Amino acid sequence: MRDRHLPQGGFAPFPGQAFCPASTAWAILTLPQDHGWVTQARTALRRCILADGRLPILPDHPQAYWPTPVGLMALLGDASCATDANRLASFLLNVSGAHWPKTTDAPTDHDTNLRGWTWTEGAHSWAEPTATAMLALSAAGLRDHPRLRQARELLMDRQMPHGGWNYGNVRVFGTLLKPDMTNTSAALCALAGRAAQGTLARSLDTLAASAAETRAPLSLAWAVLALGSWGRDTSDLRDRLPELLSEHPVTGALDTGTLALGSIALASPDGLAAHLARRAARHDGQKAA
Amino acid sequence: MAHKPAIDTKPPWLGRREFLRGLAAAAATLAAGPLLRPLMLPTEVWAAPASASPLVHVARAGSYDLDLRQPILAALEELGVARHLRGKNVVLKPNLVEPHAGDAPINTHPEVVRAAARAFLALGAGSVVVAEGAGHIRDPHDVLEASGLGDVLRQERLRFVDLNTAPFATLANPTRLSGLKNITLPRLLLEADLVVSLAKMKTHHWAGVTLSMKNLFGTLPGSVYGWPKNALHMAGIHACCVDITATLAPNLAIVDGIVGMEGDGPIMGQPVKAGLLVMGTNLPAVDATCCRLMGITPERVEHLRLAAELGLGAIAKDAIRVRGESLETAAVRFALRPDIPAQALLLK
Repeated sequence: MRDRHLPQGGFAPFPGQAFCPASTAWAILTLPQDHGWVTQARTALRRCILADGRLPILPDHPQAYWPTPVGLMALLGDASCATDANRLASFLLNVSGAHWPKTTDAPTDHDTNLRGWTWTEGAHSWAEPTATAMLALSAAGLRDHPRLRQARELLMDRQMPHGGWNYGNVRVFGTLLKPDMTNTSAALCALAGRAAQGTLARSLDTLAASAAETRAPLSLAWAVLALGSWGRDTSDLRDRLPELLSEHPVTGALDTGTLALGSIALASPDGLAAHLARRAARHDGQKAA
Repeated sequence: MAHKPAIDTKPPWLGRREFLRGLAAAAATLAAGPLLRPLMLPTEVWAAPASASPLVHVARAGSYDLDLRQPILAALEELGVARHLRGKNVVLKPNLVEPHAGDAPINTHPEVVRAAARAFLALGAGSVVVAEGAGHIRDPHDVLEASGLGDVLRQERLRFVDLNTAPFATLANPTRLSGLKNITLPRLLLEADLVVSLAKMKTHHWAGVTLSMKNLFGTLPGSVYGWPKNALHMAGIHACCVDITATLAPNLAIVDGIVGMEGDGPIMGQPVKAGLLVMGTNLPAVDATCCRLMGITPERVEHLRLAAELGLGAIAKDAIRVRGESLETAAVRFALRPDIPAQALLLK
């Protein structure tokens, strides 16, 4: 992360680029709570929160508020950030993707009336933003909030019959679509402890098979966190991860978010929720001492 | 008699891009450097001259195992593009929707990307970069590796840029057919000399067809528009096709119809071995020609009709000069699904 750290605080998505809220939030999650860069990065991040509590990709693109959940994760565990963390959580609880009553003649067959979260204002609720909002709000102590119960229902409704998730459509015009690794992993991370393993067995098996073959670093990092959160052995996958996180021959350096998620996967093979819980607990312990 | 390209010092397909690069450069100076900062550029009016009778080159290519560079070189010569390429920075924008094996009809085939890159470099291009912002998948490496494109790019030593997360700039939407006042585009594309829509020949369950204009949805960053780019669908898929084409002003389209897709495209349809590459500098004309080759009336495709009405290009049969294979001999009918409304409209 050293070459993405900015002297004025926070992180860029790639070396030589400017401050980016999402990159900064992910980078914070890889650093110890008492690391010198964290306070500065959190200050920079908090400046980007808009009046209604959303954390957009940039202040002049307020409609793209998908970094809000990871921003909330990054502020947790620091009492001085509690007010801003509450603002982010409140925004999430008060916003949802577009939803509408399910009809029999709809081109898709999922329940469009269920509320989750989305990437950009006005769009439908999709799998990954719903999963990350669930993880963030759970880590913020809102695990049993009704919005999270409905979000769980949404994810279960969008699970493919043969296992896995894609961006959030199961069937379109009667045709069953295909899952992908990042959405499947994010959903499995969010559902850990919220669903019986048997109801997700096909998704876990599908993901394990895909992860064993993939050469894609972000997908593999997510898969380690997802499989680990359900108690699966990911040691072989973790062995392959460092090589994939190094500079790619075609795309060059990986973005900060991918590097951060890879770091978290290597440090916390028991999953993202466990990682967030440990960070909060460690901080509480430090405060008590 | 073989067509002879007219000698011109400033071909229409270069004009708009020169203008865009000038705007991007001026804005970059004003913005004092931060690469991720979006730039509100002055509102300007679509002013790129479109040829009244654009050329479209149709080449036969029966397989991805053939030397595909030759038909592309021949087309670039025919279209008058070849002599303008020396030192130019070229961006190839393939259609990479989801990660599936390279021989599937979903994505622009890696061999077409390889051949196009080799053709541009052979004609003296200063650089060739391959760039895409996949619509459904947030991990660009997943798409690259599973599609087989990653291996080709490694072999050819070509760089890939994920447009979903690349630095971007925001421009006023010159046509505003959709509700979008602005269009945010990666700076890589605004600063390039040539942007090539390296599309796939497919039917589409929301747009009727996806060809070189619909392929441009992948130029818009997911970081701004989401995964999927649902904001564009909600703003009107056909209107956005036109708005993006007008804003970005790509210079060239190469449509991979060697194996296309019919029925429930862009992902779940059936392969069609059309054995064609369709190329031209006017995207509506290229797409209209593809439609005729697919057995579809282009005037029924809303974004093509709108593009023609706005003067972005010609779609009428008698206005397009088709070179290479004739429409009559090369046509391969693509099946449409009457239960899919966007395709039923094309059947009427």
